[in-house]
Formats: sequence, structure tokens, C-alpha cells
Amino acid sequence: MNTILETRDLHFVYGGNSPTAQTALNGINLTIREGEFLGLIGHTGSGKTTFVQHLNGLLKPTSGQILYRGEDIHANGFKLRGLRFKVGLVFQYPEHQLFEETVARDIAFGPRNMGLSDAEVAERVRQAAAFVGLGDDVMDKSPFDLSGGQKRRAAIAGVIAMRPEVLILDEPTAGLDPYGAFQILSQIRGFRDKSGSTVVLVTHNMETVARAADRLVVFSQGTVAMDGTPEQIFGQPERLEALGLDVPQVSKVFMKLRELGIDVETSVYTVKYAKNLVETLLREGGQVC
Amino acid sequence: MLKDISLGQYIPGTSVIHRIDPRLKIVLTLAYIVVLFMAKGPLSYGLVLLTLGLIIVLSRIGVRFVLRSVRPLLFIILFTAVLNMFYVDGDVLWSWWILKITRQGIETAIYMVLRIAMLISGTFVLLNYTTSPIMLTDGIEQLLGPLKKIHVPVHELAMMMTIALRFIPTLIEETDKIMSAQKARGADFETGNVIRRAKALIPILVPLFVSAFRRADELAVAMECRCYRGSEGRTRLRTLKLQGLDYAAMAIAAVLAAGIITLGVVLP
Amino acid sequence: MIETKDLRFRYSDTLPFVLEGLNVTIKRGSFVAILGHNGSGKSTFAKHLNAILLPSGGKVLVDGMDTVDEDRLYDIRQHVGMVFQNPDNQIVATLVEEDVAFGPENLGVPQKEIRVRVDEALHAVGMYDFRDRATYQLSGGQKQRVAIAGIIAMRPRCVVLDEPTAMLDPVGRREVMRAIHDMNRTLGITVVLITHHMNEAVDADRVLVIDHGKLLLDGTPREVFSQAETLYRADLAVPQPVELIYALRRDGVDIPGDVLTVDECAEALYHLLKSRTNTRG
Repeated sequence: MNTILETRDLHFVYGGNSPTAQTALNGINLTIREGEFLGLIGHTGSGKTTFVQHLNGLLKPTSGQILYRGEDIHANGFKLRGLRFKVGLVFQYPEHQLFEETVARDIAFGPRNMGLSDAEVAERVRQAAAFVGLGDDVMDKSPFDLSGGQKRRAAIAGVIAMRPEVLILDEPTAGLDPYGAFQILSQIRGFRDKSGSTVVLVTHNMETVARAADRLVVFSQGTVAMDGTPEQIFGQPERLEALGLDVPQVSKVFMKLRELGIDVETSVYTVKYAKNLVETLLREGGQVC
Repeated sequence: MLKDISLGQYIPGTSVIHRIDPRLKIVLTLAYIVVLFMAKGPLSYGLVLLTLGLIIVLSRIGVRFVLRSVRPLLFIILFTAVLNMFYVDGDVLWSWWILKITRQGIETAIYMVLRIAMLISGTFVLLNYTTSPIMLTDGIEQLLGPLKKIHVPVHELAMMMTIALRFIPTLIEETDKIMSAQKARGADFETGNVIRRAKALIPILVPLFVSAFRRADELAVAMECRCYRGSEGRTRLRTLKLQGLDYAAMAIAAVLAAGIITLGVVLP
Repeated sequence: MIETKDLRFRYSDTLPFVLEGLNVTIKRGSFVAILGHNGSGKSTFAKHLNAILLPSGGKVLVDGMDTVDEDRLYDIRQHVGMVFQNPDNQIVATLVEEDVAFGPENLGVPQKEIRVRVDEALHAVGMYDFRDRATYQLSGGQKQRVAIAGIIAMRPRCVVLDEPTAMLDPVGRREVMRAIHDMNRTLGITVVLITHHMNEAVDADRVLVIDHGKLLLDGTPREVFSQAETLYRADLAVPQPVELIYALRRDGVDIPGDVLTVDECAEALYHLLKSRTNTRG
């Protein structure tokens, strides 16, 4: 896979030279590959939100480089504004940014800022709405008349409509009930599968990211603490707990099983996998101490 | 960060000036302004300057901050000075075509500059730098208390001020977030003429207003759930009480005021 | 202490009923969790408990007082306090202790006693050291604890919390849940917790499940979560340990279904795997 975004020794300090300056990012070296579904996890204050705001140029690093397809985005001559359309960022509680008279016009805000023709804009709006499951009946309504879940999906559609090559979502399931969270995640996955875009999901909810991501990067206190596949990352539940993260309950069950003396593999993090594992163990007679 | 603006330009401290009852500080500031306008002549002004110097030293606020308070109005001050220099009649010192500078003009200009500078810096030190917004609101509320008898909604106004102060940093943070979110969708707040830039503010103002109204709604319900029903039967955690320090301040202020006015009358 | 009799509610005559005949009794000192998906009516139900909303049909009685009785509104709200989802939109004052004092001030509590209550309430939620701090500087979890303290200072008999952890991160959620349980156990305050986090309901004395405005399930956490199928059909989830056991049982594995916590699940699996290998071996 090609590298689409890369950061080299990225440092970011809030407050510049003042005595209350805080280092938010402490030398991040991260490579994001095209088409991957990356889960960025870490406790609050670990720097993950600050980090993703560098990826679309909203924040400028104190030192270090950010490369988009090999080009330094802060070099002279690089069109930073255009980057925002290629690296789309959905903030936490994105429904708070809705402002237009109709849902359709709000979703169209991004494409219109890109200078596209009316026909092209309309097509993108239609497609984006379909991705998030918003029907035609909703498009002419005021965004303020929608339910909470619908508003959120309209806001996400507003970024998807720009057809970004990289879609970054900061806590897209925050405040949603389990069913709503499940719906949004499915839609994001559907978007990635159909468009081939790269997706970066920032969250502190392990259960959210466990099912969807190809790769997990764990942030802790402004640095990358862990980087690997879900199997590799969840295979170290003690380390995750030490980093201030909540391990899925099913992982805790298997940690306890190991404590009780049953030799089971370490990286169990979904119920489905756990069930299959138990049934396999039963069939084979298992290895018990 | 931006959020720190919430406490105005309040600089926390425990100096003598910080500890004076805010109601007294409000009254003293008004008295200061009145006395300042009654001052006349070098000795009188000198005493005012001395008073100001005393306040600044006692408050332990750096001179840097005091000067900063005057800076925004520097242009107006100089403009006024120049105007006075050229338009006061008297003994002409220099003239060219229709413009003339008189001795009285220069004097007036100097006194005017001093007066405005001392007015601003004095008010800032007494009310802004050494009095937190909460203290100020409490002070105003309790000073205006008696007006309740003539149906002035003192409590309601104070409550509005308190809530507004409390939400300023929250709203600033929210504006920041909304701006970032719209920028991420390609919004441009910098280019274009005045009209274009004003229009560009709509994606910020609409969500902000909607959010503010929603907050107000939720807050109102929360307040009612906590049995809020206006000032009826309401007690307070803290009430302002005058202490020894306040009486001393009043006495000193009275003496200084008398001095300034007398000097102004007797030796202008 | 709170009783609803055939509670029915709709927002206007042209809209459908959101609550359809709920009969619920909440006993003094208990910890009741109310579960339901978004739109099930659980929040609407909560708002009837302290008269924010009034019934369209049926009655709500708080310690014998009918919520429609305007003269008793003040007393009802002093008996039943409420904490909302958004930490910011319930904080009134710039300083922590001033916000906690807001409730007692409204109740006309004498000045010296306000001080006592504020300190007690802050200690109860573990925020006493923050009493002089500015409210906007607090984290979400801290703000919610201040909000809870603000209600505790009013010495209520019951506190209703409407999804208090929905907007918090895991650390904040833990802090707040601890404060809520402390409040119930140490101060004896009745707790009604509206939530969609299954894990929060596991520690309750009693769980009510509301679906489409009706009471679907009512029992101990163990009883309610053992009905996984019913919960799934109501668009709800169950805690992962329960989900795992249920999935195994559905596949025909012989394992006891009475499991609620991580530890119980691990124990059950342990015995299952040990016994199977022993019979084989």
C-alpha cells in the first residue's frame, strides 16, 4: 500500500513561549497507508485530537513535518486550503456545526467551497446522504428539525460529500446509544469499502474500534505507545490498562481465565471471536493445566 | 489560552487594594473621577498623581499593566491634545496661516492628557485589575439593592451578569470549535471584501446562536429544578461586609479628596 | 417514595403517546436503573418524577404529593433533585462552591448552614479541594460531580440522573458512577439512573427496561439481563459477559445462564472447560 500521510518527528506545544506552555505532541512518527482503517486510541489528553488537526493543516506544528503523498504540507507553494478537501475531518459532536436552511444545502457546503458546478454538487450531496442513510424525505427539512442521530449523520455526510481521500472522525459515536453507535460504524465501514478511502477513527472506546479497524495506534502522553493489528494490541491487555484504556469486558474475562489457570490465547476482544474460541476448545478437549 | 479572557483582565492577588470591599471600590472610583474633574492647577494635579501612584504601589500591579490600559485610547488622547493646543484662545506662541498655538492651549492640552490617562489607569486598577468580575457583580448587586423598592429588577440583572460571565469562556471555546469545523469544510474567513467576509461569518454565527439558545433552555430547566424562583426568599453563601480596612480606606480617600479640591480652589 | 399510576404522556394532542400506562414504584433508598434505547421514553419518564413534565393521563406521586399540585412544586423539587446529561448546561456560577450553594440559596437556607452543606456535599463527591476553582476549568467528570454536589446540598430524598455519563470519557464516567454509588450507600439517597450503558445497570438494585413507552422488564439486574433475547429485540445490548454466555447457550453449549459479571463469566467458562476435558481425558 502507498503511504498517503506521514508525520516526521512532529512536535506541538500549546502556548508557545509562555510559562504555561504545554507539550501536546512529543515527536510523533506515524505513517498512514492508503485505504487502511486506522483506529487511533488513547486516554483523554493523550494528544490524539491535537494530532489529527495537524493532518489537514488546521494546526501548524512547532517542529517536525507532515507529508501528504510525499510533499511537505507547510512548504512554500503547497496549497494548504486544498488539503482540507482531500483530508476530511469530522469533529466531535459534529451536529453542532449545522447551519444551513436545509439539510441538502448544509451537506453541499463543503463541495460548494470546492468551487464545483451545481450539478456536481448535487450529485455529491445525493451520494453522501445515501452513505449515511438519510432519505430524500429529510433533504429539504431544516437540519434543526432532525433527531440527534440524524443530525450527526447529516454532519458526517457534509464531510463525505467532499470525497476526501482520507476521512478522519473524532469520536463519531460519542453520546450515542449502542444501537446508534453500531449504525454509524457500519455506515463508516460501508463508506470505506465502497470508496476505498483511508479512514482514521479517533476514540477512547475500545469496543467501538475493535470490530472495525485494520490497525490500531495507541497514543499516550503525546507519543505513540503501541502500533499494530487489533490482535497484537489487544493481545496486551495489561499494557492497555496501564495506559489508562478500558479493555473490552470480554478481554477481561479471558484475562481472568488465564489467571485461573487455563491457557488461552491472549488477544480475545470480540464476543464473536470469544464464542468461537470456546467452542473450538470444547471440541478439541483444550489444554487445561 | 483564549478561555482566560473570561476573568476580564483580573489579576489575582492579596494586596490591600484587592481586599477592599467591591462596593466601596465602585464608590471610590466614582469619587475619584469626580474629584479628578474638580482638580485645577499643578499642585492639585500633583496630589492626584500621588494618589494614583499610591494606589498602584499598594495594589502591586506592575506599571506595565497600567500603561497597557491606556494604550488603546492613546490615539484619542493625542487627538484631543492636539485639538486643544490649536483651538484655545490666549497668548499666541506660534502661528502659521489659520493655525495658532497658544500658551493656554498647551496648558489645557497637558492637563487634558493627564486627566484622561489618570482616569483610565485609576479606574482600571481599582475595578478591573484588582476586582474579580464576580466581586464586581456582587458589589453592584448589593449597592443597587435599595432600588428593588422602586421595582428595579436588581437581582435579575445581577443573575444575568453572573450567568453571562460564567458562559463567556464556554462560548469562546465553542466558537473556536465551530470555526475549526467549518474551516475543515473549506470555509474561508480571510479573503474577500467586507461583505464577503461578513457572509462568511454565517456558518459560525448560526450554530453559535442555536447552541446558545439551547443552552439557555437547558440551564433554565436546571435552575428551576434547583428551586430557583427569583430573589424571593433567597439567601446568599457570602454577603459583603465592611471591615476595618474599608473604613481606613474611606478615611484616607476623604482626606485626599479634600486636599485635591482645596488645592484646586486655593492654588490653581 | 415515588409512585406512578398508569402514567401516560404525549407532547400535544396531535402527537402519539410517548408514555403508555406506566406503573412504577420506587422504594426509598434503592438504586434503580432505567434502560431503553433512544426514543424509548426513558428521559420523558424521568422528567415526570420532579414535575418538569406533567402527565397527560394517570398520576405521579412523590412522597404522597401529586405532581400536578402547583402549591407543592417547590417541595417536590426539593425532595427529588435532577442531574442532566450536559455537564455545562447545569452550572450557573463561575466558582465551584458558588454553584453548589445555588440550590440551598434558593431554598432560603441560613447563611452559616449553606457553608456547612456546601462543604459536606463537596466532600461527598470528592471535589472539596476544587471549591475555589473556576468551573470552566474542570473536566466533564468533575463538572458532573459538581452538579451532583449541588443537588446533594439541597438534601433531597431522591436524585434522578438523566444519562449523566453520556458525554464523558471513561475516566469521567468512573468518577461519576463512584460518586453516585457513594451518594446512595453513604447518604441513603434514592437513585434513579437513566442510562444506555448496560454496565452501569449491572450494579443497581433493580433494573427497569422501557420500550416504546411501555415497561418491558422489571427486576434485579440478574433477572433482566438473563432475558437477552427480549433485550435484543428491543434494540438494546447486554453486557459482554452476558452476551458471550447467551451466544454459547444458543449454540447448544451446556453452561449455566445465570451470569452477570466478568468474574462470574470467567468462573463459568473455567468450570465448563475443565469438566469437559476431564470427562474426555
